[in-house]
Amino acid sequence: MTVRLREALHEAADEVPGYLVYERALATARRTRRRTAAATAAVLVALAAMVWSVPVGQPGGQPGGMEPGSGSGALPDQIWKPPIGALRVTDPFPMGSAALLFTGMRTMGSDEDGTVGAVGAEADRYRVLHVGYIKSAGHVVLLSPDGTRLAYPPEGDGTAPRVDIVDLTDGSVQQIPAVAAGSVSTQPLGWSPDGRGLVVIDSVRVDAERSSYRNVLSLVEPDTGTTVHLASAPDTSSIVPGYAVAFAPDGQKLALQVDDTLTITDVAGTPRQTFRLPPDEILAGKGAWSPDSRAVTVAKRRGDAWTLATIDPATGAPLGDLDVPAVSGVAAIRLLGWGPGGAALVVAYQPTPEAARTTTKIEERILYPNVRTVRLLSLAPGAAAPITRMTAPIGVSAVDVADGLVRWGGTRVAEPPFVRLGPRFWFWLVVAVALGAAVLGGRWYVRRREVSRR
Amino acid sequence: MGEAGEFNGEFHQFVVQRSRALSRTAFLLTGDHQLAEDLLQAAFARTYRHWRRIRGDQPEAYVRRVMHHQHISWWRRRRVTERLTAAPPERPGDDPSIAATLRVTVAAALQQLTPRQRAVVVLRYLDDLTEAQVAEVLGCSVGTVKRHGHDALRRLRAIAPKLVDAPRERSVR
Repeated sequence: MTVRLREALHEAADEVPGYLVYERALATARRTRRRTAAATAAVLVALAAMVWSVPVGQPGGQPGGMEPGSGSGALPDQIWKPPIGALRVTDPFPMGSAALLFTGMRTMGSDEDGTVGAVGAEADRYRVLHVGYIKSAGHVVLLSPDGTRLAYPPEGDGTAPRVDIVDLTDGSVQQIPAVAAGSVSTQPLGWSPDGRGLVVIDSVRVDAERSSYRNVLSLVEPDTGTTVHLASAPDTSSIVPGYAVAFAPDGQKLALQVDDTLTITDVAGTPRQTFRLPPDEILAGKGAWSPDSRAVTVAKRRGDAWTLATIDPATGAPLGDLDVPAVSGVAAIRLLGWGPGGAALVVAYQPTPEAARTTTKIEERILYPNVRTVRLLSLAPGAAAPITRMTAPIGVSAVDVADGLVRWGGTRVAEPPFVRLGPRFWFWLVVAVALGAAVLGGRWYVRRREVSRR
Repeated sequence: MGEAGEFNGEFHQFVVQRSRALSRTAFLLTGDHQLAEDLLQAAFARTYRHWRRIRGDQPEAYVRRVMHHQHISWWRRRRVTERLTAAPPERPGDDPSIAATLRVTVAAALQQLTPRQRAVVVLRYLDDLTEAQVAEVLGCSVGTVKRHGHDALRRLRAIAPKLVDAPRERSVR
């Protein structure tokens, strides 16, 4: 029944000429290819712009819990490990001031991970610094009192030891060569309250054969180059970074602990008083001086509990335990400073199960493989128990907080990263895609030229 | 001759050899020479972009597939202004050529079908494809092809009965 339709269609089609569209079709195809390439490039550019304008994995914005009137940031109530591909502190997009630094095993992947994480003071902007082998925040990597700089000893071969100071506001690095003659290694021990001075410890060879060394403590002013000798001690002496130096709030005096000896000295290097501390007592940390400079705080270990007590810096006489809650079940505590209402802010080092049973010396108890995680605790006068101010993931074994934030005492609610991928990851992804597009574009261009020649 | 020259030569040869047949299909799909040229040009352009992949695998079938899908796409964009009418809007009258008269009649009748119906008619009765082949070209099931074919014939009988054989009368047992 469709014979007639078939015939009609063929008869009608026979009258249709063959359309000469070859050249136009080629032109259309080439134009389409150009537009596709242009659109792809535009998408890549837009993607790159989006990546740089919206730091993925690092939520910005104002901190939710910051109390009004501070204007100088606040302490996050939680930290996370840095996103994969987080920006570095020296990258072109500086973070400004940091609230804290943290370090630990597997911070960025490997066990002995020498990555320092920095968290912004105003928001959860994460930056990282690779320092070679693992170096603990607050002990070897130190945040300046205003949170704008960090000091650390870079890896070296011992021929030119130095301390690097990274400015977090612009990413620049200031190199401070070792100040002691014959130094084979140097590292920072503490910032002065105004951020101008830095106490450093050098390991100095004593004889040409390098058979023995001495520890030399000095106060240096990086901007002026001024150096003051503070103390010397045999290399067998125990100087525990993070506990060995505490500046008085006025910056004119400091307490130094070498072995069990506590020395009060002025910034000119003149020792004023020297005391011996009982066993299981140690200078409490960089915040050991009371806000009025009338007392120096020591951390006392009683079994698995730690308490804070004070001594008179003029006489060394005990002034008694502070009326703050003890911290139990931890490997150690370290006093960062004093917040509103006289509350002490301490780092609590929670031991691994194995370390809790075996380690005794403080330098071993806070060693990164022996620390499961850390918490920041507020020990308020008269309180029954510590108040947790900040938590960290398993593996974070050390933390340092800017002194300004410790005094301010503000806490903000931290926002977890939206995704665990940072700007560097996206940047390199875009670069890889762009390179792939360039290769494809190049092949297309070569093919097109060959076609044109024909 | 380089790879690109060979590539271009193959495509040129294909266009030269198959332009006539594909032009006829394009015209019956669109019913208009200008639209048919544009349709064929677009189909060839797309074929050229993918020539490296399809040149060894029935490129003509690919061109037909592109033409039919492109035509349906165009129809969807224009359908606001196009309306199907009960009778052909264009009737042969002044054309002195019988063949031209037939061409206009066929084109006008096909324009009264939906693009899918038109595609099925052209593929089945001009290109002589089987229903399965039509289904493959249009990317639909054989059942859909049957339904579109049935609807198309019924409509053509209504608007241009001379183009279609008279239906057989059912035998009465």
